[in-house]
Amino acid sequence: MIVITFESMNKGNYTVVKNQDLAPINQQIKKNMDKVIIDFNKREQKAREKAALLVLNR
Amino acid sequence: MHNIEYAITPISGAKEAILLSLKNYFLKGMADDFIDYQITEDIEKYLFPFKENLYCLIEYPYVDKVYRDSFYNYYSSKHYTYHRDCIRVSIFSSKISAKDFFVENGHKSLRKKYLGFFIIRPLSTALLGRSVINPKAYTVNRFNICSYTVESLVIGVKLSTEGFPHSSQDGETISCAETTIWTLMEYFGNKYSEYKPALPKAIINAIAKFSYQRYLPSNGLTMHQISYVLHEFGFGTRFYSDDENGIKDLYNIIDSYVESGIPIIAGLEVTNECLGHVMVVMGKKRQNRKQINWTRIKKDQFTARGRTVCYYDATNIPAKYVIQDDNLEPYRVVKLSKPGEHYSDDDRKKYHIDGVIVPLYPKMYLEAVVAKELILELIKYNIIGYDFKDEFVFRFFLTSSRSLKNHIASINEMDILLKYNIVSSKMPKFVWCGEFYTTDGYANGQAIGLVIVDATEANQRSQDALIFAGYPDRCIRKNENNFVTLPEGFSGYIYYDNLN
Repeated sequence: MIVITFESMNKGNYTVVKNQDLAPINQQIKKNMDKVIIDFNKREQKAREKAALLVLNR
Repeated sequence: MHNIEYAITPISGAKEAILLSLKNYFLKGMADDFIDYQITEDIEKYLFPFKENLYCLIEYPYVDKVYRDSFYNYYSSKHYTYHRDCIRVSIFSSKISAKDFFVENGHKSLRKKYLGFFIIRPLSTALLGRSVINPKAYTVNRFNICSYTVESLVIGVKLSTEGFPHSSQDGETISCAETTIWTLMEYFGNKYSEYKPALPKAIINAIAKFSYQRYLPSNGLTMHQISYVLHEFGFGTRFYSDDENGIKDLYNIIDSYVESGIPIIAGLEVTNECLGHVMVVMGKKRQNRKQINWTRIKKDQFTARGRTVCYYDATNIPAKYVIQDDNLEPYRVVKLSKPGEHYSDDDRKKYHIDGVIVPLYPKMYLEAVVAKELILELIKYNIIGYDFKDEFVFRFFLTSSRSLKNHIASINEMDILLKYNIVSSKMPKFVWCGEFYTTDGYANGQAIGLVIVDATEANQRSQDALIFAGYPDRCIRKNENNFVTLPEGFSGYIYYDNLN
């Protein structure tokens, strides 16, 4: 039987990224993406209001 | 009529053959078999874009499921007597003979030549019905489209071809709005098992829940109603519209979804004229990547690592788009800024895109605008990102993880371990991908980076959505619940195309 796993293929040749190193990055991403999402939600709300107006029948 | 009758003609004689069929079948027994000039003009216009060497096989009677549905639910209740059968015209790439249909060698030849069909309805004001025609039948066909395989039985021979459905509206049971819903459901229902094709009656029943007045004859729908019906048929739809941020953002969104192989519904209007129309955008005529003049392409930018980074977004590369408009012949190619360019009247030439509806898989929670920003955000940080040199090219699209893994596995130039690390990554059904190129690399389709994020991740604010990132100096993927850095750089990857 041949077993193919992450360990058997990479043979230990990898480095685990520590969660404590990722934590500040995650925080910064959240802060920057919050602005993107708030802006997008506003635009989506306006899009929904517009979608109810014009009848498409041509 | 108990026998099906057939006629074979080269495309040059198709107009006359179709007019004769109209007289023989739809006008049979009538004292006056005069055919209106408009009908002749409509047929001429429909046949004009075809290649010159095609052959047509005309058959009557043909039971067209879409027309038959409208017939039983509407036309049969009217005072005027309507025919219930249609004429079908099958198209072949070169000469065929009657004998081809009755010998095995002939069948092989027919399978290579078959290019689809179009239906002629017994409605004088809406003659041309549904069609699925391979773009190879047209003189203008250098574009890429969403397509599916349609199977037909022609004189007992099973034939198939690739195409995208089209139909003109009949103006009574279906207007442009219902026709675009039918077109999308015909495509998705035949291509993916999660969806089913929808006949006009099913569409009308879905709208009825949303109507405050009699629905037939159709008065058209708002984008809201179209979205509601698609939702009833199993999609998770998203709206986008032209707003104060500019129409260019909307065009970029359209491009992202079309590049992802997702046909979208574009709502058109003429400002201050109350003219509203809707069409399906389902393909793209791309510029030759080797001939792009990068000095003419707008650059976008972001700030990272204390400097401003300029890059080219591939959606800004000029292109034309392939549309199915029920007032026009199939596969018209337009600029998004001029969707009405093929119309002859001045009013409709002024159409502009007001908004779009995107039919998405319902569990796709990470939509395009946010996903794109997330990928560009992730690359800014050294641990999970990469400092690409200025003027890199960024290409962004959605795909199924199944298709992406199949693409990766089939690339000969890619290292086996790198392939393994991507295809063995657990992925959801759909993923957003960001490909990164140098301008030279883009011309050759050779990417220097790839970022894959989970399209079903509802948390849009963190690296939780990241599945894999490949950069020139290393790769990052998840193993168990941790990100791991793999020392081997990302290379050998080739441009992935969702369109056919």
